[in-house]
Amino acid sequence: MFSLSLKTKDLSKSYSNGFIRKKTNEVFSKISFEIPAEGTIGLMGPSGSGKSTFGRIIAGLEMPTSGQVLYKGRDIRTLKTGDFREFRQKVQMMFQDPAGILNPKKTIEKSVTEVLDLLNIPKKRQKTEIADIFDQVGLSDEILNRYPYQISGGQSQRIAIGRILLLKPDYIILDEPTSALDSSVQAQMLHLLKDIQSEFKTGYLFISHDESVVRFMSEKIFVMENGALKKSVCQTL
Amino acid sequence: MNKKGLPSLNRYGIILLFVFLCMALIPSFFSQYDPDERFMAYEDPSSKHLLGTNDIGNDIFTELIYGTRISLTVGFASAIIATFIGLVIGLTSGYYRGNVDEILMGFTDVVLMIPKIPLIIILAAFLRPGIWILILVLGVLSWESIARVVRSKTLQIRETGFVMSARCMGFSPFHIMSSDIIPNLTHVVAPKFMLATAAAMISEASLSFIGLGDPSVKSWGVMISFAFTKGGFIREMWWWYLPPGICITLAVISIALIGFSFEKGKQTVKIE
Amino acid sequence: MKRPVIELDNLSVTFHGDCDLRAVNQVSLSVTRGEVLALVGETGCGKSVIAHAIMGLLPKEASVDGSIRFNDMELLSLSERELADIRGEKIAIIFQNPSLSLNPVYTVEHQISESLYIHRKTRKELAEKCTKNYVLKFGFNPPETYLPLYPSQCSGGMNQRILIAASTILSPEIVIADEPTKGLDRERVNETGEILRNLVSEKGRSLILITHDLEFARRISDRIAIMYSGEIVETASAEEFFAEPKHPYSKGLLNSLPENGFVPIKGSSPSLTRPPDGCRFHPRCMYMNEQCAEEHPDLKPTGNRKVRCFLCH
Repeated sequence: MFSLSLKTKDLSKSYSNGFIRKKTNEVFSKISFEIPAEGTIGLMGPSGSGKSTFGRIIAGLEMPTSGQVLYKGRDIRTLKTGDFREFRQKVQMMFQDPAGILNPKKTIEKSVTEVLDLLNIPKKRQKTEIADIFDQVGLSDEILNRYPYQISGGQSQRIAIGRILLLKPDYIILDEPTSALDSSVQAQMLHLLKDIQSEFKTGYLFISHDESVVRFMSEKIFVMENGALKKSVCQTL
Repeated sequence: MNKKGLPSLNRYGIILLFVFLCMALIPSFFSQYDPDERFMAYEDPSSKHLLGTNDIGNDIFTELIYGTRISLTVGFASAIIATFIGLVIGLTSGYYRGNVDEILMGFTDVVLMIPKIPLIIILAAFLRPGIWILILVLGVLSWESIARVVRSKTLQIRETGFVMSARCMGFSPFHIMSSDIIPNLTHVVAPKFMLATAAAMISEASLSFIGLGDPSVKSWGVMISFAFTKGGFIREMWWWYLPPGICITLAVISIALIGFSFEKGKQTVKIE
Repeated sequence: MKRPVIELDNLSVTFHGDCDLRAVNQVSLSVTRGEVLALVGETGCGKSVIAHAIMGLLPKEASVDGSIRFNDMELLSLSERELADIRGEKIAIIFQNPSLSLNPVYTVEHQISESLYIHRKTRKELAEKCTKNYVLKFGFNPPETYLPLYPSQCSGGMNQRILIAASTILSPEIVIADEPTKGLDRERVNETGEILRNLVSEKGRSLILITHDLEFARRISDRIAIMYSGEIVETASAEEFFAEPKHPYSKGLLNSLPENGFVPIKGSSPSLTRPPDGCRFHPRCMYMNEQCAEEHPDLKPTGNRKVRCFLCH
């Protein structure tokens, strides 16, 4: 019952437009799905197919129209405060746009230390924590005093993943984490994500429209099309 | 990237506002008399009294200097109230969306439709005229446009990666709003704040002019009103009624200029 | 050898700000009639700055040295008015992000035919006919159903086609496409590639394609120029380049592609305000030796191509 698991059960999402004549737009319906605690699941689909929305619902950032997201076997909407906080920390999501992934008004140091403050890590230990994590994601600490617009997209993306790692998550949902990056930076990032996975043993849900990237990253691939999730047939690794 | 060289217009705005602020903070430095000191009434301008004296013999130049504080206080205080209300309502509405948004924005639209000046006239007629009541009424009635701007900007910012990941990491809504959203709103709120200040100063002047201000504190509007009712116009004492008018105009212009310079915001050259 | 339509000679662009930033350093390039040149580089290498320099669209804190010759005209010495005549009529630019480059309050027809009215002073009936015929080539068939639409009613891919149609209806001699595929998914990328290819083959037009997508560049270009940190490090015909890249950076770029297994280049691009001494790529280069750290290599011809590397000369 309490073993680590993240599942969806009959998950549906639709948007309704209009006030008088309601027009309902179904994004996807009745998806039951499990993200394994280790390894990577790839999720592909053309733009607008609802794969990002699916990821956001699992991360608890959006409400499904019906169905449930089950964390350790329990619906995340019925979790008590303490359990919900655990869910919030253990299931993380990473976003696409490197320009918007860090608050432009905060220095890198502030962005990182606020996560440590959230975890109630005493100030004395914060320095070593930051050094460890920067080492992990391959950044030097000279950028700590800079603002996001003073660093490159790849560096922003590394800081974002470093921030997430501070929380020691069990699952990371990666929503097109590399599609806005140049190909050489993308390659670096993909390798970094793989290294992190083998070190921290996290489960990835890798969402991307780029087939080659998904194939490179994941063991199993699903395709979202016309509101349904299909397992990809051809699987070459 | 290019920070040097503010447009010269903005520089004049800052200089002008600085002068007015000095006048408001240390009026005794500018005028040698006390505002309540009495001399001969209806005197013409002379080296002793730069702008002459009024009906009860007060030095008009001194009055003008001391009026600065009142006018600026009314402007800034009511703009602070308006900005605060607008910020809270706009943020809540944009951050929580859904029903909260519908209700708050509906309420905002209702307030937006109230004709301001007539309502203030009615309120002023019923309430005891007083400077703080005036500030409160002006502030409470001019937050809607700020709320609307803040809401639409908040809707935009809450979809960015850093807000999303802050939500994901479990930061409290209060933390997200205060440390992630508000700092990114300054470039839309600052010009709105300055314009609200200017608008409040003009409203105060017009209300005082039609006699609904607080006659015990002499703002520039009250001065014009007195010049009108106590014989300044009939005697063609332009040195009595023109200077406060010019002061209001200049102060409003300076504040608006500074507001416009905020609007341009921080522009960074992006090279690709 | 064919005469170049456009020729850049030692073009340098410097942005003056808190600290001077040389975004483009001594770039020489030429494009002949009917040729597709791909200018490939990563974010921040200055490739878009070149496009803006050709179009005369740089902000005023930028200073430009060198020369840009278009046919026999020196573009850098033209006045703003003369440039405005050339822009759109002779040289067209397709910006990235179609949804932002189109004006949401005008119909598709208006956006496409606008330049006919402005540059050619075409009469209404003629312009309408012209527009209808032209959009057929972009797959808007029948034109009557698509022309009255607004950009918000069209999909991203359609907007991209509308944008290309609007910038090329005057049949310019050169089209500059600035990251035309950014943010589009694979299918749209292929579609855009086909349209651009057709544009060129049709009238002997030249195309300068600015992109970071090597895959895309490979598919449609004749010649490739690789930019790194404001400089061109290698130019070669597309075929030769993809068969065997010479410059270490080009090799690294190709290795980071999906089909080569995402092998990354170590390190990250240097900042343009403080480029490293010597060869700008040496801190990240696998083959680096002492000379590379001290001397700045020139872009020298080797065989049919030009490479900026000591190891290749």
